[in-house]
Amino acid sequence: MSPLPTIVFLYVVTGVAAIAQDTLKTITVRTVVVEADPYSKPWRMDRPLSASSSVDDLMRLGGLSLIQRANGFAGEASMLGLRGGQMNTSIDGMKIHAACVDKMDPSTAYIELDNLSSMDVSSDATDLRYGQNLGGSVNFSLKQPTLATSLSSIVSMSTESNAALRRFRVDLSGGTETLGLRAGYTMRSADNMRAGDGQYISLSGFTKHNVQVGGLWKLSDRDALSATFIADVASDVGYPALIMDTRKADALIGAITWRSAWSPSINTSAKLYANSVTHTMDDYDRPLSQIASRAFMPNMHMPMLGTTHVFGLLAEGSIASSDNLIRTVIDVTYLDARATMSMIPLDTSVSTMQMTNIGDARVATAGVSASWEHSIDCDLSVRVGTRVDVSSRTLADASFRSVLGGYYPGMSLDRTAVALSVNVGAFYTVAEGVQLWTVVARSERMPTHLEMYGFWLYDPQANIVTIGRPDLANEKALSLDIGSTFRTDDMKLSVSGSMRHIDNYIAPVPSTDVPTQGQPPTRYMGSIGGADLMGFNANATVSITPWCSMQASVLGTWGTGITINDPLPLIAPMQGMVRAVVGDPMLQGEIIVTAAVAQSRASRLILPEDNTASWARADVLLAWMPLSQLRIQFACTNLFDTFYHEHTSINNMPSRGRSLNVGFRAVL
Amino acid sequence: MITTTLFMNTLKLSALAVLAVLVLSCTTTTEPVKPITIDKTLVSTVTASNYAVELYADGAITVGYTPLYVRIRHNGLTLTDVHVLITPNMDMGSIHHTCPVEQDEEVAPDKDGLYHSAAIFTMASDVGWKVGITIHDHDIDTTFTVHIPIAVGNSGNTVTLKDASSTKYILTLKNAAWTVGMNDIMFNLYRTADGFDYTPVDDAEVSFAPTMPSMGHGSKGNVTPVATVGGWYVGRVNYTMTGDWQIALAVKTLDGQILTNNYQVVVR
Repeated sequence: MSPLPTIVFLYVVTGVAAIAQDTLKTITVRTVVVEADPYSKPWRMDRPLSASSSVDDLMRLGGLSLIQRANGFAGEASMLGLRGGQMNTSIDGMKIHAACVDKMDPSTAYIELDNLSSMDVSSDATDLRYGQNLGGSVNFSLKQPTLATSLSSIVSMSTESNAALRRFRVDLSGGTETLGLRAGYTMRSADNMRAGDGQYISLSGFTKHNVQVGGLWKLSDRDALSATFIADVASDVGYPALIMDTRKADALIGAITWRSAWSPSINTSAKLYANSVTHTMDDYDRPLSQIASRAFMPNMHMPMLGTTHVFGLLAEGSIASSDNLIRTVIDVTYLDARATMSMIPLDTSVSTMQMTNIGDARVATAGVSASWEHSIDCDLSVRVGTRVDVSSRTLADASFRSVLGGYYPGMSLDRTAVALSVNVGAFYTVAEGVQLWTVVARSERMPTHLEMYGFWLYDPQANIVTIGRPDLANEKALSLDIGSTFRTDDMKLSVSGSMRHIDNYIAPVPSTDVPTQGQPPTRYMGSIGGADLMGFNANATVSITPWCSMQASVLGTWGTGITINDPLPLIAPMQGMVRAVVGDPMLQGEIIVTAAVAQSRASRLILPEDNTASWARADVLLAWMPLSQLRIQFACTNLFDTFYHEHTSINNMPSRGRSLNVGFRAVL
Repeated sequence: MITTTLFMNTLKLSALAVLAVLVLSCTTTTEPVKPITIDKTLVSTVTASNYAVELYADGAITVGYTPLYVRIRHNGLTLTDVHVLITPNMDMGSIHHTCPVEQDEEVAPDKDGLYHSAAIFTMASDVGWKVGITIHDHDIDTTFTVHIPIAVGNSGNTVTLKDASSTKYILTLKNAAWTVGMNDIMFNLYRTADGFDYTPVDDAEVSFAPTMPSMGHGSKGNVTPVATVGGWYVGRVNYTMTGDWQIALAVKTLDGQILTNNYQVVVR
């Protein structure tokens, strides 16, 4: 059995991959599809080595950088120098908004790897289905129940030496011809982690529980109704690099979807969804000496509460013919976000204070996207896509309106924003197995509610306080992506590059204000003018023998704020990875080496950061299946106990040191 | 037979009872008079010449701008056609002085019969202050004065400062129920040379800056006060959070004198 066809870490570059209809060619450009379900394939280049895997590990596999604030928990995705509102992150197309104004709970923190079937990463501004973005789109597909399957359960457990990470998973699924059900529970927990230098990082543990329940009801041969519900609760999540820790973060996510195949070439789906996120954090576990000496708001506790509620409707449709594929998406969402902070002085003679950081922001957005893919001949295809959004934003908290309005006299706090993005791509088969592609895109994204309305938000790395600006202009980008792939039966090579110019780059505008009493300076969100981003990505996958495959990749991104002449912040340096997989499904070994060069292009003005040294690490894995129902896994991550931190690790929080892990999975 | 008699007696008694209720109902057709309730704090009542003089305030009287209310009752009736003049007086033993007062002798009372005025008490004292209230009853053309002792508590809302020429300035921050967000903020400036005649100063330049000493920050969006009338300056202050705030007031008089004071306020 050749491993190559089963390698799930697919770089489907210029794919022209046939789906659905025999003659239909659907074009997926520079898209990475990472299978999240480890049981769908016998080989496991789909999952990271850690036996206690998380969505963060999956995103790294997909080529994303993670802005790390905790111990392998709740990493904020970044790609090609884009982050935050410049990217679109969705879960089955649904938008989940972080409740923490300090970015401690990106939406991906509320799902588990076990909830997912795959992750789609698009980095060329063509994926506008689920939101505007400047060239970064990540969509996680949730596992769905299956019909006509016997009742089965899976129990999976693993533990690691570092931080005593432990993970438990139980999964139950089955279905009749018309009804499928699936339920799963995951628990992950960790104590304080140990870095590569042997030091334990205090307050770096966490505990997390996740329950997913899903149902699928086949209404007819053409219609099906599915429902998904996820409850996720995390508690006592330490953020050693920040000044507070998460006390509790919980999310309730629910969706009902109706899918209908009107004909073999016409498919539609309609999804109604809602989610609610509540995030509480405080510094009660921090030593008083730390509270007394910190730069920001010393000598007081400051518990914070943040909530978001999202309601959405997502309607998708596609029409296919032999040479054409038209897809449309109607995407309507409503967001309600609030965040408050209490300040409780250690000196009890000083009154307790209360501040609102987001005063009931209401954002209602309706968007329509459409794409048309057309095969001109067997070698040449073109694709055109567009999306337009109209968004109404306001603040419903009268007191907060008064406060923020005072900062911007005469400026309306209510706004209706419009964003329009278009892209055109061409895909040409030069010769058998050799494709070239290019995409030109003009993208636009609206400011986030935090960028518009956030009040007194602290950035611990830059050590600044930021205040939003209600009249922020949209960010607009013009981008060019090009790439090529070469594919044979045993080898696949791909290389791609991108150039992107962004106007009205939104950031806390550097200021010369002199802070008072040693407090961090206050900055106001605004445009810092133009910015340029460039990047490349090269990948190779080679099947050396039927029992040995290798993979290598290297990627780099450079970004500059050209108006203020400063490197863009939080951009990972050039890094590469080499991976080898040997053996067969019964006994499999794997080694992966990851390395990054030093990052000396650190931002000094936009969000001050420091340079980062180069680093390299190695991970190994051995997986054994003594029975078809039992898989046992041994692994060692960070084999050489390298002490390092990634450039995108906030306040240089070190990565985990060496960790031995063991786990098993049994099908019952 | 016995049963029939009992039934008839019961019927008669019931009829009498109904009749009694009807009669009594007819005699109470007038609604009881609801006593006037005044949503103020009664400071004191003094009786003189069959007149009851009632002094009210919004709450405990403290240093600073203090609205005062006077009601005059005569023979059980509330008078609404009198002139009321208040004169606070501070007896410090060897020294007497008064304080700035806002009042209009011609003003009519409100629906509760209260005559409105205000005093800016300049110092705290449990026993030293008396409010002299002079009343002229137009109906019988009589004038009399009563003196009501009051206790004035501490607050930092008013401060007395001397300039280089020993002229005293009374700087007052009008207290308010401060809330998060933009609030109207009012300062008052009086000048006196002898402690008895107080002149409102309407031609000064007034500025202020709110800060939170415990936090080390201020706020933006504050509106510089402008003069209105009677020594009042009205601006806007932006309190960004609850807690203890400090208002740093700076006054530049027409002759270039700079007067400053810090007021402590609590935002809830």
